[in-house]
Order: sequence, then structure tokens, then C-alpha cells
Amino acid sequence: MAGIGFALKRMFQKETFTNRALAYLYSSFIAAGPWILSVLSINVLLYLLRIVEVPTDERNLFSATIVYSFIFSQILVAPIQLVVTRYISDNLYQKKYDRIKPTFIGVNNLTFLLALIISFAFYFNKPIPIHYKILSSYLFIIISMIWILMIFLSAVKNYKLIAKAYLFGGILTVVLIFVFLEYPIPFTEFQTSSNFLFAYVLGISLILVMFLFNLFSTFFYGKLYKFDFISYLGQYATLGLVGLFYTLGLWSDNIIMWFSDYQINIFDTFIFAPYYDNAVFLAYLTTIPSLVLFFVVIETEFYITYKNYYGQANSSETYQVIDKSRKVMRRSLNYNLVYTFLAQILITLTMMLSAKPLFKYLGINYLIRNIFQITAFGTMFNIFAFIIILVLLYFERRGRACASAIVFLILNSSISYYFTMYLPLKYAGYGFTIASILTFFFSLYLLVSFFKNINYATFAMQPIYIEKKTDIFIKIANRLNKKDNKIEEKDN
Amino acid sequence: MTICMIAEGSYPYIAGGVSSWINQIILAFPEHKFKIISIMPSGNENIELKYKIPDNVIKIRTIFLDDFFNIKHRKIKKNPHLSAEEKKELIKLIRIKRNVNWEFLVSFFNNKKRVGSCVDFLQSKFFFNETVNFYQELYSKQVFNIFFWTIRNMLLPLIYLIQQEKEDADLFHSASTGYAGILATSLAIKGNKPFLLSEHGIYGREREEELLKAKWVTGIYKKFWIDFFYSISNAAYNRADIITALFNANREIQIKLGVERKKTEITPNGINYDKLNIEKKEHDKIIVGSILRIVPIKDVMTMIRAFSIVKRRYDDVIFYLMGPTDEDKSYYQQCKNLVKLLNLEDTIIFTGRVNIKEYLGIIDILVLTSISEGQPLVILEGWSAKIPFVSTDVGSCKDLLVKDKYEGHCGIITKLAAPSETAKAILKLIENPKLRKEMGENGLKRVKRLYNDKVLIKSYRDLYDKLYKKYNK
Repeated sequence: MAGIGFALKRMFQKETFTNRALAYLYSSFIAAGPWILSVLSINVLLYLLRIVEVPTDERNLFSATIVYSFIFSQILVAPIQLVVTRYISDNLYQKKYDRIKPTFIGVNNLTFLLALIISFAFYFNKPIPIHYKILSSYLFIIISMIWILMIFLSAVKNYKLIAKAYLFGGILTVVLIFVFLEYPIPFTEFQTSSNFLFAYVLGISLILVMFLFNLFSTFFYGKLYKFDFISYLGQYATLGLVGLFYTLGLWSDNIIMWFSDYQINIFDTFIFAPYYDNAVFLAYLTTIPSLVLFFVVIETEFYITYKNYYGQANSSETYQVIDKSRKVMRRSLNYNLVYTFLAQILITLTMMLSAKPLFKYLGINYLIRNIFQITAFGTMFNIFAFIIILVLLYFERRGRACASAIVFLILNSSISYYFTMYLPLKYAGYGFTIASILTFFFSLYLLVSFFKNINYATFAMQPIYIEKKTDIFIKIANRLNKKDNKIEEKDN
Repeated sequence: MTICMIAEGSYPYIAGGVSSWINQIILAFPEHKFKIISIMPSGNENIELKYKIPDNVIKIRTIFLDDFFNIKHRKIKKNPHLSAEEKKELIKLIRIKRNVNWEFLVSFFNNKKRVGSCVDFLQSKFFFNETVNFYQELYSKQVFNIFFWTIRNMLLPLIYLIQQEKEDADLFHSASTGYAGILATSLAIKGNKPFLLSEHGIYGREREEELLKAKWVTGIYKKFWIDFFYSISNAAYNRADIITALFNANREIQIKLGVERKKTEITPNGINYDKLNIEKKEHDKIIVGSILRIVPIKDVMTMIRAFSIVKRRYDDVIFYLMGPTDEDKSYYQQCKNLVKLLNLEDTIIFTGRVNIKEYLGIIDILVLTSISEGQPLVILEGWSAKIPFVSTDVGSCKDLLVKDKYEGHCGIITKLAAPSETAKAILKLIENPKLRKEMGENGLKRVKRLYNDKVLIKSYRDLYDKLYKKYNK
């Protein structure tokens, strides 16, 4: 009778501690991509538009189109981004390579459909020309699809290609802009900005095509289980929420600012706050070094200690040995975090101090500079908090990661709301900065308190046995899988 | 009154001595209603009723020891603040001390609002830290993973049983200590009802013997599990109002294990010998039989070897092994293989489960080679048909078989796992029909005098009434 227990232990041991945690980091590295893409494209294109003396309204229309497309496509994709990342890395881990392509098709179709509905609903009754509506909708849909593709490509770790695609897409856009300046397409209204948008959309399309080509040449087989990933939505709901809350939090101060005195209304289609949006975008650029740095140290140094600790905890070692590995791992994490943070502090301070002459040289408005200086300080803490959230996910502490993201959303929206609505404009960006600082300390507390009890978490908080899981998402996925298989049978 | 009978790994799903005894008790008290709680090891196995359930059984509640699989790991963990006293007792539990205060633990774990489920406790920080302390003080050279999981797996079904829903009954009657005993303890405490413990063997001893031989557990963990079973036996020993043993030697062991003497009683098995006093039928060959389940504890291999020795010396003989073969199929297969190897397929016959009444009339000698027994019912059954017995010296077999001032020998006692000695005893009875007859008749006399069901039923009637009155003044 006593033998029952021993079967439990064997079951537990089958559940290996995750290699897949790495995937979170890859996808975070990729997160830097959108910043570069959006900030650079907006600024370069706006600069060109100014040179060719396009009226302010039209320039703003173009700028707002891109800002909206970026922000809302990210919010759209955020809830499934980490969940799908988890799903594919689990499948890759189990060597179910034939699941990748169908999963992409499933996720992509779903995103496409949602993006189509959203853009239709948004542009439906807006007073702008139809060709512009089509181009902007197209942009929104394509960008959403690119975010999806990047999940898949980063799971395959194809960074070189991602970089190359961005570069070629950018070059194509710039070349086309010059071509269109000479030989403009005769759009009825907003001719220049429409041409610019068209060039931009074509450049982005090139990126999409390159991504697609690469994905399908790596994973060219597999047809079934297109919607199996839905089964993860329930089990990994917290993961989805981390993405959703963090992304919402990230943009909440911008969206609130759109309703402040900085607001610019463009043809009753968009409202936005170009000074603020632009300043925050630029501020985010300054955090790229720490993301990359962290990615590298985690990958090389910390991962070894991490693997060692969990490997030993799962094998025939004494507690003393395991605990020693824990200390080594903790030291490594401490060191690398401090190292990354210090480097970032140095960069941020430099940027803040050199903002005045630099912005003056580039001819950027002093209002943007002021907001930039304070939000650069804020983004620094924001990226620290983000890194800590990633570390928490690394240790499968989804609840804590989710708590950090929620706290960030609540703090940023409430404090930013207060600052924007009740304080003079010169305090723009302070709300975001204070929220980021508080979130950082909160996340840090969650990480430290988790680490204090990490042995307990490793051994005692693991499930005692594997529960049979059923929830609405698993049922939906099963039904769709069945349908999928049936169609497949008919085809054959 | 309503009596809740608690059985572990037996009635009504597994046939055998304890199960027959339970069936007999239930049938003997048609005026009482019975609820059965049957503890079975795993819900994954198919189980079927092995008995026709008497009409006075109003409920059968089956608890599978691995049912805790259905408990959900909750997201919000209960983490109660523990008093110093509580900590002290829980630490004793984690360290598998024999002096655990079960009364306290039952009330502690049944405050589910405060402490949560067994899963909550085993995932608690307190449990983890104390397990680490225990480990570091005494076993720091062991593999921690195995250590931690062994303690966890030991406590999981235990706390699960302690936390079972209460059952309405006027009296709780358990057929063993162990898991059944801990459940009965918990139910009796929760309902503040009398608890009668009828121990057939000595649970702790039996587990100890099994564990010492077991291959699935090694090193320090043998000791852990042995201590564990002795420890949970103490729960029932402490809480039970009356503890019965089948014979005096077992009672003395119970007392040695800590039972108060004044709580002990001896209630031997008893049977309705008239029903089994079957007329001898004429037959040519000598027929040697054994009524048993084909399981390792009966040491069927030794019996087969003994039979082969007998067969070599005396050709005109046939052997019947009567009883279920499906409980341990691989062991049954081994036995069959041995029979085949010895080329005795025509001589040694596995009948499967049979109505022994049909066989008792033709059997000349009955044999047991068990390595552990309480007070075998089959001996009493055999005697009812005046059949002499050859049995190993286990449980109360010696007391049963040897002569006393009322009757002469009723059979022959042999050493354990000694095929040649068993064979010698069988041959002695084969070659001496007079001795055979005499021993068989002695046996019948003894059953009539000591082991008849009227005595048994009267003692239980008295015990039930006494306990009922004690709690219902």
C-alpha cells in the first residue's frame, strides 16, 4: 500500500525544470526591436516630411497613424505573446516540430481577424479619405502579424535574420520615399503623407515577407493542431496577464496624456500628444543597452548556475550541496543585476546631461527635451522592473510577475492621471517616472522575498502530484483539434 | 444501533479471513444496521464485490488511498500561525515518533478552515523547514530529494484519511489498526463515539516483516516506514475503548506495544461447525488440501515443494489448492511454473475459489505453510469436518493444534519454510489412518468447545452493548 507514494515521486521527476525559461528572455530581447523600429521610423520620416515642407496637420496625421499602429498592435498581441512563446518552446522541447507551422497559422489567423475587425471599427466613420484608411488598416494588421512572427522566430533564435529584415525594410522605405518624391502616386488627398505611408507600408511588408519565408523554410511541415495553443490560455493565464498589464501600463501614461493640454486632434481621427509620445519613445531608446547586456549575462553566466541548482535539486544530492549551488546562483544573479543596473544608470545619466546640447543640435523642441530628461530617468527604472519581471518568469513565479505588472498598470495610470489632470504641464512624465520607480522597488521586493525561500519553493511548493487539468480553454482547443483532424481526414 | 465497520484492503472487495469474519459479524446482528468503510489502495484498479452484501448493510463507502489526487492544489495557501504546542506535536509527526499525540492531530487537521487540506500542509513552509531540520540533524548524508519525498508520501494518505468527512454511527468498529485504525480514530474522535478495535494479526508487526523483505524500499527508509506503521497503530491503540485479540500471545504483544491491559479482550474466531460437519465420502486416493489465497504470505512455494516430496514417497495422493488466484497474478504464475517444473501438473490442482463444503467431505488432511497468520479460520473449518491439520508455527496455530487438558493433538506443527518437515508431517498422517481420525475428532471437539460462533457472537453482543451504554448514559 505504501508503494503508491513512490509512483508520485517518479511522476514528479518527469517534470524537468525548465530549459524553456530561456525563451522568455529571447522574446524580451526581441522587445527592443519594436522600439528601434518605431522611434527611428517616426523621427526619420517626420524629418523628411519637414524637409519637403508638408503642412503640420498632414505631418501629424502621418505621425499619429504610426503611433497608433504601434501602440495598439502591441496591446493586441500582448496577452498571447508570452503564452504562445511558452507553447512553442514546450513543443520544441518535446521535439514536436510539426506543431510550429500550424500553430503559427492558427495564431496568425486569429490575430489577423482581430486586427481587421479593430481597424474596421476604428476607421469606419472617420472623416479621412478611403485610400488612407486602407493604408493605415493595412499597416496596423501587418505590424500585428510581425509581432506574432517575431515570437516564432525568436523561439528559433534567428536574430541575424530579424536584424537583417529590419535593415532591408528600412532601406526599402527610404529608397521608395525618394522615388515617390520624384514620381508621386496621385492620391486625391494628403498626397505626400499618403506616399510616405505607402512607402513605409511596403518596407514593413518586406520585413513580413522575409520573416514568413524564413519561418516556412525552417518549419515547412505539419498541418494539425492549429488551435491547440488555446489550451494554454487557461493554465498560463497569468502569463498572458503579465504581457497585457505590462503593455497597458507602458502606454497608459501616453493615452492619458492624449487627453491633456498636449492633445492634438487630427481630422477628428486621432488624438495624440506628439511631444510627449515622441519624448517617451526617445527615452525608451536609452534602455536598449541594459536589455541587451542583461540578455547576454543571463545567457552566459547566470544560466549555468541556474541549471546547476535545479539540476542538483532534481537529482541525488544532499541538501548541503544543493544549498551551496543556491548560494552560487544567488551571487551570480546579484552580481549580474547590479552590473546591468549600474551600466544603465551610467548611460541614462549621460543621456540626461547631454540632452540639452544634443537636442539643440538635432533641432528638437525643448518641450520634448524636458519630458525626455525626466522620462529617461523613469524608463531606466521601468526597464529594471521589466528585467526583474523576466527573472521572476525565469523562476516560474508567474504570480509574482503578474503582480508586478498589475501594480505597474495601476500606479502608472493613477499617478499619471493625477499629474496630467491636476498639475501644470511641466510635470509631464513625472507620473510615469514615479510609477516606474515604485514598481521597481515592489518587483525587487517580490524577487528578494522569493529568493529567501527559494529552496522551499523548489521542493515544497511544487505540486505534490500532477493534477488533471480541464478548463474552458482546454475544451475549446480539444474541440478545434478534433475538427482540424476531421477536415484533414476528409482531405486525404 | 448503527455500527460503522472499517476495513482496510479487505471486505467487501477482497476475500480472506478478516473479510469472512466481518461478513459473519454483520450477519450475526440483523438487529443492527451496518455502514462499511472500505479503504482500498488505488482507485485505478477494478474492484468488485466478493461477498453478497447482507440486508442490514445500509451504506458502503469506499475510500481509495490515492483519492487525494482529486484534491486541487489551491493558489492561496493556508499558512496558519502555529502555537509552540502545535509545532511540538507536528514535529513529532514529521519525525515519525511513536509517541505522536494523535488525538491532538485529529482535531488539528480537521480544522480545515485553518489548516487547509493535506496538500496545503505538505506544501507549507513549516513542513519544509522542519523536514530540513530533521534531515540536517540526523540524515544529512542522504539524498535530500528522496528523503523529502518519502516523508511527504508517507504523510499524504495519512492526513488525507484523518481529514475524511465524518460518518454518523453509534459505534466505530475497525478490523485492524494501520490506515483503518487511523480513520476509525479520527471518526470516533469527531463523533465522540465508542471505538472497538478487533485486531486479527498485529498490524505493525506484519508491516515490519513485509518491509524488511521488501525491495522497493531501502536504507534508512525501511526504518521510516516501519516506525510509521507502528506509530499510526498507536493512534488506534490509544483511542480505542476496547481492543480485542484473537488469542493471548497477540494480546501480550499489544500490551507490549503500549495498550493498557484493562482495555484488552480475547475474542477467538468462531464458526458454525454444524454447517460444515460434512459426512466423509468414500474415495480411492489420499486427498491433501489447502484452503488459501494464492499469495506470497501463504508461502505456496514451500507447500508445493513439500507436496512433491510427499508424492515421491507415496504415489497414491492428490493435492487440492482451494482459493482465489487473482490477487497476486504474478505469484500465481510462479507457483504454476514450479508445479510444471516438478512435473506435478496432474497431482497438484489449483481449483480457484470454490465452495469448500463440496470438498470437505473428501479431504483427508489440510495443510498450511503460511509465514504469517492470526488465528486461521480454515483450521476451524477443517476441524468441523474432522480433518486434521499440518500447519507452520505462526500466529496462534501452535495453541490451536497442540494438546491441552481437554483434547489431545489436533494436528502437527512444523517449522516455517521447511518443505521436508511439512512433508514428513503429511506423510505421518497419510501412513497412520488411526492418528488421522483421532486428530480430526479432537479438532471437532475443540471447535465445539472454544471456537464456535455462539461464543464469538455473544462476546461481540456484550462488547457492543457495553460500549453503547458507556457513551449513551
